[in-house]
Amino acid sequence: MKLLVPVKRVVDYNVKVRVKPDGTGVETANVKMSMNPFDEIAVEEAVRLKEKGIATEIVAVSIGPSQAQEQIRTALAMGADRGILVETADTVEPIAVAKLLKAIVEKEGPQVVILGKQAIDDDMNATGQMLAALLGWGQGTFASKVEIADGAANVTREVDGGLETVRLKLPAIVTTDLRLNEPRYASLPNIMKARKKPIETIKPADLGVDTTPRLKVIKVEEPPKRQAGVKVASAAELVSKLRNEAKVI
Amino acid sequence: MNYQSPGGAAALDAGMNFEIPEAVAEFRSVTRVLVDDLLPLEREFQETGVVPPQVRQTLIKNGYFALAFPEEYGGLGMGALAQCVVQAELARLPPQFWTELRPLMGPAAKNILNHASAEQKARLVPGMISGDIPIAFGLTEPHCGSDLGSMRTTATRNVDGWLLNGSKTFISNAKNAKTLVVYAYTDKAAGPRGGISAFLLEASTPGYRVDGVIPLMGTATPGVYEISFSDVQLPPDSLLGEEGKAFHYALEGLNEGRLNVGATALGMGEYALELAVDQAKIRPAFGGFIADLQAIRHMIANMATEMRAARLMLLDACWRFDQGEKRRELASMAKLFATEAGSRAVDSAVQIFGGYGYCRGFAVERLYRDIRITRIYEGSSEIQRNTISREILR
Amino acid sequence: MTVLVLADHDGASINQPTRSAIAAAGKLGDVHLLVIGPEAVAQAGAKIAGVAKVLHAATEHLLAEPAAALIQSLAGNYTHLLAPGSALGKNVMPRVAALLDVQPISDISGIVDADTFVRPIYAGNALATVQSSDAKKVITVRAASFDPAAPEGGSAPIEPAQPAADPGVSSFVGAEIVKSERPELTAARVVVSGGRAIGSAENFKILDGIADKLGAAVGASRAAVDAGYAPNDLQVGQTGKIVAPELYMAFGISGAIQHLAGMKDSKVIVAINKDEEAPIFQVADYGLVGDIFKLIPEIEAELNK
Repeated sequence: MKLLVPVKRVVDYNVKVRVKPDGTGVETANVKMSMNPFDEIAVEEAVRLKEKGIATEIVAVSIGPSQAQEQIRTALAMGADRGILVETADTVEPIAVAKLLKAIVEKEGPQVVILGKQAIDDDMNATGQMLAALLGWGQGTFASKVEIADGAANVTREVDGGLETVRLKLPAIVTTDLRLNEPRYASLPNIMKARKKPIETIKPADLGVDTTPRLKVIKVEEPPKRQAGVKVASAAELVSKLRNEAKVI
Repeated sequence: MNYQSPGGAAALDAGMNFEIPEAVAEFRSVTRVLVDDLLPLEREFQETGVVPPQVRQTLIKNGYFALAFPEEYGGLGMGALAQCVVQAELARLPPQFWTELRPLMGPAAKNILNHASAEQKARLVPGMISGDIPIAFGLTEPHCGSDLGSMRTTATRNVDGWLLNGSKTFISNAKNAKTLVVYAYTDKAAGPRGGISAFLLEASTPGYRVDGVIPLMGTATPGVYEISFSDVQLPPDSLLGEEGKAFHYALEGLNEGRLNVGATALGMGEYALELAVDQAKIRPAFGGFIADLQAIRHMIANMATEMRAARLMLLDACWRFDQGEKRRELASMAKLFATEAGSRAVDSAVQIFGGYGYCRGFAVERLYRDIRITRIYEGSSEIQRNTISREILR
Repeated sequence: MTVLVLADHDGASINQPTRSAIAAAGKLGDVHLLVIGPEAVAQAGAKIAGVAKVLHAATEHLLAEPAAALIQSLAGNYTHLLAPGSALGKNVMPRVAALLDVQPISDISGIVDADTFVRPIYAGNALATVQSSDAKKVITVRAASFDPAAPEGGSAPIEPAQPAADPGVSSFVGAEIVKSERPELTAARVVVSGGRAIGSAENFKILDGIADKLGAAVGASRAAVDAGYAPNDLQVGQTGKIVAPELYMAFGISGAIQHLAGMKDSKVIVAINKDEEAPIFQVADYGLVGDIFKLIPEIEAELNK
């Protein structure tokens, strides 16, 4: 069984992003970039499925600038077998990403596509669901457990207040939540091995997909800064302020 | 890292490329992730004095013990550049977390790789990589530091090989080591350059003892050890390399190890800089933050400038070393500057943290103690200056 | 303009995030509420202020695939399709958008006009104003940003909705909804969180008294989770849950950027920490410097007064 794992190059989660003074976006020049953390969980899950003998091949895909090869290399070092980079310098929205991935799915024929539930840059939380819709596949979003057997996937999902389990006919889409697994490090020997694994580079046009954005960014701004408040002297004063001034209890 | 000196028109056109190679850059970023994950264990270590076992397991499992060894033995065959880039990241962790890597990236491993017989290497190297054969480097003696000629340990030839007598001190990892590289005079009359030999000593050999532990200024455990040899019978195949040549092995090993110590100081200094920058931005004072104050800003400017210079010198020396340009003064300059600039950066960081910088539990307080040794071991700053001036004035 | 809102519910009542989405929808046009579930829920929906009509599709379990197909079949009548930004809305709406060839607009926190919306990006560290060129807008709504519509006061007619054919690719197996007395973190009106200063998993229980008293959800900082004091699903922060309750109380949390990203949209923030320089105080409306182990029982006692 083949697995496809899309990985996105994003600003590292430890970086405090700054809004550009001209309001066109956030500063990404000279900022540490990493694989989207939810995508790392997706790669880890795929590698575990391969280690269990359920999957036979893992293809890591990234859509982005040529530097996104670094994130594909990380996926390869974690255990993916080969990579595909859809190279574009443009902003690609989830709908275009989903269409590009659909074209790759049709070429590669994976039984499961495992994606991060959301990217920590645009926070859209949409690509997996959209790809599922375009392919007409079932979707197991926000997964905290995935079991694959007998041509189906049982996916336990993080829902508000607890867990829900759905059974999906294969092929299917899974999107990962934080608790699904703890991603491994790309070990030094595996980084060396990964350098010998192939990465194919293609362009969006090769897949016949129009990536023109549907959303025009009018402006990006800092959220209103919170004013530092007051220090209170005692528990009694605190509770009194919460009752009488803030009126929240 | 593959810059060229602009010798001809073609080289001028090509310019200089200061980027570290991609694989090394990947090593760096993955090591940073691993270090960030291991840092929270420092608390447990400080409370118990015991390094949590998962630290060693993580390093072994992810290939850190294998870094410096050739691929034929299951190693990664990485040179000085990769080792130093990785070490500069690991240096953010308490030294006790990575101290076992020192002999593996330092003189002991260099001696074994460069001079051990094929049989000796086959016996030792796989175990060094897997962590099953911890090693230690036994050179320094109570009366013999930088002046190797004053060594008192002797190995006297007998029918069964050599009989080893004497003692060593400041030996890292001696308590855990299963094999030690031990230096001894085999021919005092021949002087240091012809009379010192190196041996591979099995820790289980009768007559070998770990006599005591010396607590250190930095986080005091596990410390370094005093060891002694009382009529220790070394078998014939324990000789490392050629008899009487070990003075050169020691210098060669220390020369390479020097870069590693420089990388350690670089990593500590860069970490201190980062901590100081973060602190300066959030520490309120006089209606703003201390980062607004010029005194603090200049300190940070100096720290950043010096750490950048240290990094470039060190990467340059490593890269040239890997290309075969093993000029002693380059390693010495890099070590000298990185350790002294790193120490200044850490000192400034403590100042920026103010009272908190003097409190246990703050990383800069630990760094202040831990970085001090880098100006002393693997050749003190004074020895580095001797080496540099000797090469310049040759 | 008429707007369709997908209701999120627990099988009996309609939750507050849905009522926030209804309030947001009301700014765009007439609101029709789609209830996929039991009849009782449709009746509850009919009473919500501002709902002009309830469309009811009776099913036992709400799965994304048939739900998206149903909404697609209804979409012709609407300019905007909304849902709360809950697990349900996030699961279903992007699927709807793809079926309609629309780029969804997730988690909006503001409405500028019928085409233009404000949404947080980078875990709320920036706000983007985006204008959609799609003919229909598919939107999820950040509940904390819109005051919910009143649960009573409406009397909308209920019409049956014809379910679209189930694509037959998924089925419901089971659910384990924790029957906690405590509200869910992201929906709670009050959140009480502990940091590494709590010191142990055992000690974490000291927050229970205040949480019980205030009907609060309990959260934790990443440092506390990393130290093993609290389970990962309690983590508030950029890599955990993002919360915006009316009242957020941080006990022994220093206020790493990572954590602030997950809670700084709270209406009122209280910080209790023994380090008076802790960065959390810079975002706190009320700060109290002192030992949490001494102050927690005192606060609890005050609340009981």
